[in-house]
Amino acid sequence: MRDDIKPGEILDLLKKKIAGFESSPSESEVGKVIQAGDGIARAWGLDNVLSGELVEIDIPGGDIVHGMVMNLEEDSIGIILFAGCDKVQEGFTVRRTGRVAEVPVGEALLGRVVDPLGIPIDGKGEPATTQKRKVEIKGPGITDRQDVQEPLQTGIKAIDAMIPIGRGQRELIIGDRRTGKTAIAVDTIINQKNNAEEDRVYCFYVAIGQKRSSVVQLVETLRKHGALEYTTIIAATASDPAAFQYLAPYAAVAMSEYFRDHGKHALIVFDDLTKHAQAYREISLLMRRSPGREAYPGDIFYLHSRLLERAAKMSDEKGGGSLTALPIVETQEGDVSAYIPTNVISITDGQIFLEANLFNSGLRPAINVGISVSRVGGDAQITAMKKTAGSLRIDLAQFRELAAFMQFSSDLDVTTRKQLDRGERLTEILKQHQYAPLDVFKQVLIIKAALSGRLDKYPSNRLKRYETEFFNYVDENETSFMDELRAAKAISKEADKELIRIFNDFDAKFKPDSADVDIDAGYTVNMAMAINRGQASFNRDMINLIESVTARELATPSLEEELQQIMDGKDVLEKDRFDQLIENCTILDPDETEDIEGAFMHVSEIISETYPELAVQTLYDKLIEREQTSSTALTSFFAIPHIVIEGENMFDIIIMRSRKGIHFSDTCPNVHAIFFLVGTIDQRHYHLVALSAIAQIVQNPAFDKEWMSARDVSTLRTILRYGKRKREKKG
Amino acid sequence: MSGPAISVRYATALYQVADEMGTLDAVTEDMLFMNNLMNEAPEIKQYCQKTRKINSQVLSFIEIAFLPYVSKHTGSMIDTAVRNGRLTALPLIPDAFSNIANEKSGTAMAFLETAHEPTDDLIVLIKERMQLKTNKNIKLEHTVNPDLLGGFKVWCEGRMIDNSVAGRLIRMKRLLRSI
Repeated sequence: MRDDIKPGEILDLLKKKIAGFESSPSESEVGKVIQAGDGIARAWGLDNVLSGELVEIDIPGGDIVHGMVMNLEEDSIGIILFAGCDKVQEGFTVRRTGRVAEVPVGEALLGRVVDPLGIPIDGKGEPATTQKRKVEIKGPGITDRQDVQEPLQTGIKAIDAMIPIGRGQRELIIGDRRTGKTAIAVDTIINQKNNAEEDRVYCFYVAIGQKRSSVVQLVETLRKHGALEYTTIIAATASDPAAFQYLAPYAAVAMSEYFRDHGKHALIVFDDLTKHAQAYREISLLMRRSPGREAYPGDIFYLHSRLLERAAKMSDEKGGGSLTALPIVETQEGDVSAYIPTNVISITDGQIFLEANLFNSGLRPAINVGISVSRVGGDAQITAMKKTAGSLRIDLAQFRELAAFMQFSSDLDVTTRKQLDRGERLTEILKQHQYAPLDVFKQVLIIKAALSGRLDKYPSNRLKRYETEFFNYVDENETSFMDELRAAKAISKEADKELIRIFNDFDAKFKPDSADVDIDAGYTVNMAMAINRGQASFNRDMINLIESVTARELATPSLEEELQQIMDGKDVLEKDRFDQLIENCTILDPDETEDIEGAFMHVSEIISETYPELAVQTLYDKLIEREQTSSTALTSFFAIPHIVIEGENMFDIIIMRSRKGIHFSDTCPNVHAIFFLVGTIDQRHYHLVALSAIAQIVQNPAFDKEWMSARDVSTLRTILRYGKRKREKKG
Repeated sequence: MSGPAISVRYATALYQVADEMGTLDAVTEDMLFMNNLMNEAPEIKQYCQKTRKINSQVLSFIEIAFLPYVSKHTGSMIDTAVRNGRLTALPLIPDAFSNIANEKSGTAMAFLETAHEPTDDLIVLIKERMQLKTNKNIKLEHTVNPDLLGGFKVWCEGRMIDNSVAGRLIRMKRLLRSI
């Protein structure tokens, strides 16, 4: 019953209904169910029934089960059953309705959660609409359409800059499970909140075969971000019959077409078409249709092509409305050459490809811009973005190529190093948190800053803060510039000059060396290497990094295996000696700025005091020599300078915290945590154990922040003492 | 291929042979016999529907259950159908034959269900109405079903007319539920 009915009105409504009741005999074309089960029924009779027609099956007691005619055979018809299919038995009467499946449409459905028949499942009663639309109709004809020309802003920098989507486009989101496919769609829906009322994009989210709890979460997310009021959710969950899952996208398109055909803009997300195809396969096999590739029926391509053809940008004569479709397809192990992915790729106007490796290495959204493409959206991109981000894709591609070689060589020429630095910063800038879509004009500014090399002077782990503070600065001080940019949608020469001034003003105020460090940053180079290594895990990366900095004297052919054992906690050679070392070691926390030479000399003096047989100059020379071989800075935050000394049974650690940072290299200009390891060759294994222990401790995402905010040496020692790592086994 | 289409094929062949040989009356009698047998002995109907493999046992059963009681042409049809592995279609053949015979003679079957024993006037009235609707002679069969509470239901030529009290109550229930 509807929520908005007052108790006093109920009696009136009942009276009206009873007065209008048609008591004359009912006449209908009927047949008999001859077989029922698995969500389908076969019936005899109904000679004139149409394919796709809705039928009603009378259940003793007055209930009705609805179904849709799918198969017309010589002597029977195949029916897919909707809710209550388990009640249907052989011998029940099937009645024609004379109607093909249709759903309620209109503004009343916004903010609601409905099933594929348009029946509300959110407990808010019937939607107040009398309008209905057929679920299965043909897409608009050629003359009724026009080119895609208006942008659909997703609020995601990587997409709006490099894979722009236009209103009326069909852009596939494809990737393995848990790579952020739904997140992109949801962010896009949330971003439509910022549109003006006359430019509103009404959103439809179709959940096919998902868990009910996921749908509930989604509804809550949309509600929390104020996006539910212009969104309708059509849910055919995993527990619903296959017929519901098959019908859901068509029902949702019918609902969204209402807006398209009324000159408005709509966005529809199909999450996901892989499960839709599986539901259709299930129905087809039960209907005894011939299976084809991967057991899908022969018309599986038509299933999706006729659905996605209904997304269109309508001609001005037809009102100029649009329906943009974002179908989602799930791949297995990144295999895009499977049947359904290839089908949908060929139907759509481009694809956003998400990769599990990128996702796991912290690059989110995990879009592989190399193989993602938008075939028509470029025409719809705003001029400012088109001109600004034109070279972004090429710059990133070059960075990837170079990053692939970077792992083989530590000696890079200045140009290559610059390209890598730029790529690292571009990658960093394109990272974005979930549920935080960004205004396209702000996207233009930050991308312009990165591409112009303005951010090259900042370490990549400061860029997130730069971005946040820059946007705050612009919001507070440059509103007129932003208003002009929004109005013009392009950057004129004058605006360009003004923008340089804004950047300069902000640069003068921005303090990159503040202790507030973004935990995600700093691993970008590491991440870039992971991108190119395919399935590399974090441990794997760590081993490679440790290997790359390990002193030559410590390296053996079995080094990798040994490190792997240490990482896995399988080594039993040492007994948690690291803890003892940390408790007794010297930790330096100088107030003054030190350069690398100064720091090395300082440490050499301390070591020489403990081990008088070792000359200060010898130790210093060894440290410098080691550093010159290749940098011992593992990330822009920490470094592990380590040397092998003459003698026996000697191993020590000296730790330094530099609040201002020590310049190790151009890529690591401000290293804050320096772990000096000094040991004799007979302590080779423990050398590796210590390297691994440090690597594990600093791997903690909160380490940088804790390290920088520690008040004194004692706190620093505690951080290291209780840092998360695998302890050495006893015995 | 499923049962109904096969049964229609065998029934058509039998009708044509009987028509050509002038044995239509005898074959019609056989079909009535088979229909009654299937209704009165559901285990025979079930046996026919479930038996897929034809062996000597099945053939002996057919010889005992059907062949002594039917005319030559009907017997040949049953024997052919069974030897072709179409025993499952056998229970459906009488209905299919009846439909063909009715169509040839311009007759339609109507089934009347009433809450109480129908009056002769009601039967005549329904026959007339159905005749007008279908343009065919009407053969009416009727049953009593007290669940209808009052009024009647008629099935004819794939259509159903529901004029029962139970039907109206159900329709009203659905109407009120939609508030």
